[in-house]
Amino acid sequence: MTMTPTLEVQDLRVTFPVKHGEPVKAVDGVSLTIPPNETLGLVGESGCGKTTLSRAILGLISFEGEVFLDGTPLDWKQDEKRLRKQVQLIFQDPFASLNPRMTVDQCLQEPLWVHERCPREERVIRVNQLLDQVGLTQAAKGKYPHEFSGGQRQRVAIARALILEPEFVIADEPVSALDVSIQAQILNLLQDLREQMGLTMLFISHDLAVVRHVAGCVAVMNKGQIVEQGPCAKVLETPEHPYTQTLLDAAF
Amino acid sequence: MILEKGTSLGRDAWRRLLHNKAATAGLILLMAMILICVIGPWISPYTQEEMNWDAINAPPSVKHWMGTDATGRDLLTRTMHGGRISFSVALAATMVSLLIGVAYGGISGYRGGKTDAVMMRVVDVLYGLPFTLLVILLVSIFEKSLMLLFIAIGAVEWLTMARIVRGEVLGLCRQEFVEACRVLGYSNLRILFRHIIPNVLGTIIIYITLTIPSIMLLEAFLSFLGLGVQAPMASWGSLIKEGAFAMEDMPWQMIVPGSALFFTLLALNFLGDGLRDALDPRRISHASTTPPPEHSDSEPGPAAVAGSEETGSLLTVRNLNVTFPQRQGILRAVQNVGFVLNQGEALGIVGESGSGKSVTVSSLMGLVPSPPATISGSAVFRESELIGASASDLRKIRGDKISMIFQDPMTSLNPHQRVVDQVAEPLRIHRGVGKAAARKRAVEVLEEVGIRDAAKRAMSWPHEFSGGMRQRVMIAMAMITEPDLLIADEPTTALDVTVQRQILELIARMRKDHGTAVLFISHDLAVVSAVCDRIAVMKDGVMVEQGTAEDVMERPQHAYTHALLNCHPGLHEPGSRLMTLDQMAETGGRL
Amino acid sequence: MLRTLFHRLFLQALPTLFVLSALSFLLVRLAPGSPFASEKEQSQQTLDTLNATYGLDQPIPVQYLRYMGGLVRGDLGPSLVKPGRTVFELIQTALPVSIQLGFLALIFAISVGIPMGVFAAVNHNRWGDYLCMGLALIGVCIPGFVLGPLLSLQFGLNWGWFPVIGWEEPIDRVLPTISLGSIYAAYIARLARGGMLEELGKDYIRTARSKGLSEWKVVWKHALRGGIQPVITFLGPAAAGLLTGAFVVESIFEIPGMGEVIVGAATERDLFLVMGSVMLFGSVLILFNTIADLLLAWLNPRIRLHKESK
Repeated sequence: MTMTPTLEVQDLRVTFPVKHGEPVKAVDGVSLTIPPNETLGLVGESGCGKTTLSRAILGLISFEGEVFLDGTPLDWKQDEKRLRKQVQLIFQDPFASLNPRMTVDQCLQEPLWVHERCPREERVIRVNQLLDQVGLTQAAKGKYPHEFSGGQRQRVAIARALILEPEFVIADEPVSALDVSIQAQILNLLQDLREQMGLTMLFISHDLAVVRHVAGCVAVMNKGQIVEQGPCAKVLETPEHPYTQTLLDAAF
Repeated sequence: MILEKGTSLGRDAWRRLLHNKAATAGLILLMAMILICVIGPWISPYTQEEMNWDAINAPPSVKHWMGTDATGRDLLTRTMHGGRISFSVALAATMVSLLIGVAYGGISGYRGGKTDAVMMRVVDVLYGLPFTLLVILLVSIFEKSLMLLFIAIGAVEWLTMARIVRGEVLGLCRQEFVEACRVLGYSNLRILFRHIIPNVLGTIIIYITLTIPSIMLLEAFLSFLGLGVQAPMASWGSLIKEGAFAMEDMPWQMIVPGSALFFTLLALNFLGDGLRDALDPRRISHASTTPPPEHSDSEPGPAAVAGSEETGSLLTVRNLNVTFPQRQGILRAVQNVGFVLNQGEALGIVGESGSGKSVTVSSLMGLVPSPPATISGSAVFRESELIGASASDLRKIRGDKISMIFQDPMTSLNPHQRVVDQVAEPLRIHRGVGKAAARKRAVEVLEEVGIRDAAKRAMSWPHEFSGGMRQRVMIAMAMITEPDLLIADEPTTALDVTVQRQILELIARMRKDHGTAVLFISHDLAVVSAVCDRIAVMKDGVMVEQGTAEDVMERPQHAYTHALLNCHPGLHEPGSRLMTLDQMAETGGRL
Repeated sequence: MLRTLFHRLFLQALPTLFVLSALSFLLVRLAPGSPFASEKEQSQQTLDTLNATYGLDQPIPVQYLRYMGGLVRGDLGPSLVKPGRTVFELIQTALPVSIQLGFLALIFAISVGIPMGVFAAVNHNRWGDYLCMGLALIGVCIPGFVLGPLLSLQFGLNWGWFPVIGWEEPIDRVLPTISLGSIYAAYIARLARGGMLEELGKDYIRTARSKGLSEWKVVWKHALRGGIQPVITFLGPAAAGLLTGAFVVESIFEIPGMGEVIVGAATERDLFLVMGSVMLFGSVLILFNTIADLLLAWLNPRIRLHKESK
């Protein structure tokens, strides 16, 4: 069977100008496909360009190449308002990614107001429902981010990314700032939500073990390029590229 | 539905401000000063111009509480009028500088790039101008009007405000929560006013408390030079000037306005210091962003040491307790911890953040400041007791017999010192080796830890090295004295996986080559099991389990160890649900 | 290092001097009143002749350019109010006095402020800290024009230790220096304490301690360089404040400095005298700012190498 992939990236390039000298190719001709309701793990070390790639897909920095969502090219300039509802991002650091001066309630209602001009009653219902789904109590609504632990904050951040019911979510190292025991909770939560809400996900991590756990397919990135791509079982059991081998040797 | 009300950062800061006695006193004093200056002149039976030739230079009395001046004018009334001028100049000029500075700095910081560069170049150029001089020119050339003074001073002060706001906004724009706003598709205006400006408010308030006193001083300074307020109106500066020249015979004429200025400035400073403490983002992150660790009343760990007690033991720790006083009660960071480390052995201590593993080793090294911490128990390193040893005795061991490396190689090296000198330093202080010889040895050790071309690179500065290289430098620094024990506190947590592997191999090699014992602290069981012979697991300050690496990994005894192993994704079937600690508690620890 | 200097001079110092000259020229020329107003009952004709003699009948931009041309050649021009005297003559005795007073006060402020701040930081939250910071807080609240009269009353008139007037003997300089410098000493102490506290909390200090360094060495050898950076940054503004602050201290202790010259010249619209004073003053300030910048670059290898590698 052939299905239109939810996300397709074709030959994406990002270059940063350097004052004196060659421009840096942060992302150098990357192509990816993610089928609906699948998770693609993107693995690489710091500085390999994985974060830059995610920011390019989100239209936060300019790039060359094409990105398709459900078969139609993403055009951030033309269609920003609609696309923002469909593509969302979960950040690495739950301490930095929430505005310290807003309560959870304000933080979750704001997107609904900005995008859909939802009436208040509906906003409240949807926030309550989502809080329930991410495993937070109603009591959390009046609280500020600094009153939560790291794991709870990440739940709030996840809720904010999902409140607009996006179709495609990029999770950029969502658990690497957390303790191992908390990591497990968040990973379980992400998997549950993916099933319940039918999300397609790009899961970025430096940790092979985490990626193997959540993703069906994996892409290995090094120096701005995808060196190897395929189902987890295949890539991680019988790697073809020497860099993948190095990564596997280093991991625990 | 009852909504639990959270504490906003603003309310939290306000609470902390009121807790600060000096700041509260400052606030009350300031309010009193303002109130007196505003209301006083109405109540007073005198006016500021009314001369009384019968009471020239009268000392303080019942009629004139603060005495009179050379033309018999009531000094208290004049001082209160002067206060009105001082406060209104300060307020108006602050408002001017605030409006211009916030707008200019905000735009410059938010736009960034070329706009920012140009706007800041303008500020830099203007900043170099001798503004006090220009204000002097301005007021001495044009008619001496108060309004002009306001504007002139405000125009001087806005530069600093713009710089501060711009820096702050620029920093915030790089924060993830602002990026999150972009991802959510908010408009620039919404991001700037709803998300960025509220977060700059703290800094702006702090800066205002610095600006107001400096403006009051400037106004007094200009009035003293005769360039401020014109007679018969009074300002504190002009009153002080009149008083200064009659100091010898009529001291009150200077002391009254002088103390009015002094106490106002003092009140403002108290308040400013208090506000800075209450609003400082770093303090907030330390004091209240981390929820207090739970005070655990769990059973003290196995006090008896499980390890073998042979004659070869290098370090024996027994009943180690470390407590920190807290706002409510005490925090028992380390409770009854005990372990034995034999010569040349590697022991790993595993636990999550807040489990007390770092505090344990830091307290052995005398690096936990006591007080406030209370440390008890015993730690014998080669016949010498470390706990309670004098600071100078500990210093002799530290860096010589016991060395340490830390988690973040980016911040653990002195940015202001050449790499070679930092590596050589332990040799110089512990062995009295001369500079040249120590440097030579340092280069050899750098070579040994795998820094290529060490002779040349040794003269570099730390920021010219990558993270992995810096950790190698740290290891060289730790190994240069050939210590008996190397304590590694999360040495690879901040590094990439491939670099992590290299550093672990390096530590293993150093251990083999020099017979150094290693105390390895990490949150990652897998990493620890790769390097260590034995593993100890800590939770909430208690050592819950210790044993050989194989036993702990294969046959964990304690439920918590089980859980740690179970939530490790690498040790699980892909796609399966990970066991979490809550579930462990529900099943009573049995799996 | 050279690069930083170059950068400072051409991208910052020269534009600043240019803006300064243009601004003050405009201010004086646009102000109502004339430098020749003091000479009584002049006919319009005399005025015109005077204006023509000094070139003041030309459009303002031309006047400005002619003045700047003279300035570049080192000619500060004549005084408009005191006939027959040049600006250089009028300034040459006063400017060194003001600069000397400012410089002495700066030395005093640094040599008192830094040790006090470091001492307070090392004894954080102990009596030594409270004592130093209490003193600094009081110092910050007593400006020179309040402290000056107090000092001269007590140490000069009551105890007779120091003279209260004049600027001849070295001992004359004691009270003015302290009056002017104390508030800056207090600022520097507070900045040094803050900087040191921040530096002492950093990771590399823990490394230094773990090497077994004595606390003395940790503080002076490792922490100080980073800790006093806020103080160095403050030196530029401090120099500006000290030089202009000198005006009031000069008037209290009757010291023949620039304060009187500048205020007098501005009030009398003595265009060239104002310009000469302001430009010289500005140059001294910019020199100070540049020195502070170079010091900062020298203290912080990251800035230094960054600039050089560009």
